[in-house]
Amino acid sequence: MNARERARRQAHWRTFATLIEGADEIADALEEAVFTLSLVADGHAGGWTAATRSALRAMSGIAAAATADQVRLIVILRDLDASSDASDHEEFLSACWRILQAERRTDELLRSTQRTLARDLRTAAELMLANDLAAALERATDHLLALCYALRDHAFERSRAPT
Amino acid sequence: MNADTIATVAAGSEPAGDDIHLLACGATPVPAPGPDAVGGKAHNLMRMAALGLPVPPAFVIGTAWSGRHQQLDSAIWQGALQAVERETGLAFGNPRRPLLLSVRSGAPVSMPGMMETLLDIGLCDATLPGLLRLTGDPRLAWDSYRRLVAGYGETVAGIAATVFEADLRAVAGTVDERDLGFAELRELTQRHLATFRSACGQPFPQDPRAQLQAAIGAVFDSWQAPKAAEYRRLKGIDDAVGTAVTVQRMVFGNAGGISGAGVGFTRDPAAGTPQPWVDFLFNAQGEDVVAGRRRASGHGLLAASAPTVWQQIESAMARLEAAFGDMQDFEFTIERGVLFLLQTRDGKRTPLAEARIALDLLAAGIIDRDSARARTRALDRQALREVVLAAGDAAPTAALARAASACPGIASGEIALDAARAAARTAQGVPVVLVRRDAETADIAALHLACGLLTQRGARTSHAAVVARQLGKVCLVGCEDLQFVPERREISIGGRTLAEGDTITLDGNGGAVHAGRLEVVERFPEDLLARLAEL
Repeated sequence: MNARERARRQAHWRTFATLIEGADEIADALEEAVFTLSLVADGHAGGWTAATRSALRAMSGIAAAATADQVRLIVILRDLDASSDASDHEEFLSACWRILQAERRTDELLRSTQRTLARDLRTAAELMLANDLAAALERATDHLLALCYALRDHAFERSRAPT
Repeated sequence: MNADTIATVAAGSEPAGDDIHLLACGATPVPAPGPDAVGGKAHNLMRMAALGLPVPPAFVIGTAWSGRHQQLDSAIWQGALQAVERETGLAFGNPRRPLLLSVRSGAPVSMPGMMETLLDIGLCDATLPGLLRLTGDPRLAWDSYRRLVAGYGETVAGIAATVFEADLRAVAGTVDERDLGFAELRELTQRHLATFRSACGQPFPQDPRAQLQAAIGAVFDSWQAPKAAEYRRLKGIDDAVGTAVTVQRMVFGNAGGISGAGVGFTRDPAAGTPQPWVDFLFNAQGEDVVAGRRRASGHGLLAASAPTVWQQIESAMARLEAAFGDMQDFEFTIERGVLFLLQTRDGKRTPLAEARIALDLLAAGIIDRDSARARTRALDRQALREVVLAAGDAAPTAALARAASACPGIASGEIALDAARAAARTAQGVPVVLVRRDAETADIAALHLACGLLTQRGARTSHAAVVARQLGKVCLVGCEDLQFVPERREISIGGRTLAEGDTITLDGNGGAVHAGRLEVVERFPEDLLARLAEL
């Protein structure tokens, strides 16, 4: 919170305020997913079928991998400028590309997962938990992609700037 | 492929000159160096690599350096390190793709937990961002760094473990360290770095090569540690044998998700029955299980959470037994769902287990009749005698508390809370039960004197429990209902306060602690004795 307020007060830090707000959106979506999982762990999803679990596991794996890529972007960006090693730029863009793919894949998976849920689940609680989890994961990858674009733009600015 | 042929092909091992040997680097089929040259641990790792089992690349500094490791210049192992770098695609000390290493001891004769291990060597302020780039996991990076500073501080700089534990308690309070987030682990690392500086008068070394050189020296030096010397004395092992040092690519059990560390026996080492006996901790490194400072029990959660990995472990257990011709004690790490085997050796066991395992391996065609006879020759009726509680005392309701049994039998004796008390009372002819917070191998001298060991923490597979089983001591570990009141030299078990000197009984058959001395009866495994007689 302090970092965000400090960033807002100074013009040249506004980019970072935007980045921090984007990261907050990701964290909110992931926290919602974790909360839903805690309800699952409490035994409220006993009727989930193997297909349901498999679909949600796939979405979770993609969201987790995209989150790790977001961390990689930030670490690389810390030292990225016009004089950086070409491999740093390549690694940065590769991580961006993977996050883009993750967002598209979770979009597709959300739809197919919802078909599976409608077909397999019978109780309101089970359906709600599964759908909420899938939607939170999909929303997380949306925000990951938005932040990825913001980080990419920032990286391009830094790469153009004189060192 | 049987054990003999593996020993002669040993794909994946090759000498690198100057008594430095590569392990799981490439696939050149040359004879494997023997345990006398590279230690039992590295020799068996080479055999596992030859079997195609997943073993991280490594190099081994042979036992010939043990007595003269001060002359071991880094130029001597530089070429081997480069081979590991080529194999892994990582570079030691590189800020972008850092290779991190474990440095492990390994004598020609198994000495469980008596020497030192260092993990995460190569991590420093400059390479930490590289680990973040490789893994995308800040929690893993900071957890590894704080483990390195504490482990290096204890083993190389000689700082007491309690100092780093105090740092941990200050940050974590009562929260399990596995539940700490990356920000807390980062704070813990900073505390450890400050603690290191204040205890040593100099900062934690930030040069990975200096870390590695010092770690290799410390592991060689641990051959002379008091507990190692005491173990050799008890087991009649020649002091001149020396240890090798294995420098191996780190794999991370603390990477979250389906990651963790485990120790297992391919069969029950207490009863000898053909069920796997595995302890596994999620989000942990191997030292967490074997060091005896953490509770771990069973593999049920692992098998349920990661059935594919568990099937791989079951398959590996069968291959290890077939190749090594005996029940194996093995260590493994799972990094994000990928299995790595880090050690195997013939498992320590009770006489009862020795008999049953030999007979079962013969029946399965894994060993021949002569081998089974040789292994059971010394086992007579008396050796297989089981001591159990008399029927009335064995009722579960009579117990003060339950704990995991690491070695069966019944032990009654006075409570002794440290080695000095154990020595004083046993010198007066009084049997004692050693009661400790952790199952640690540093207690080996006291354990030798005691008739049993009870610990608050630790697992059945902790090194100290392995040693207790080998010494034939009744051993219960991970007793959650045991609390210590050190200032009054008292303990509380299941809500009942007992003073040092009070008598307790450990039931290693049923995993229970009782107040007072209980009646015991003897029984004999007649079915097993009949099978032995037919051998």
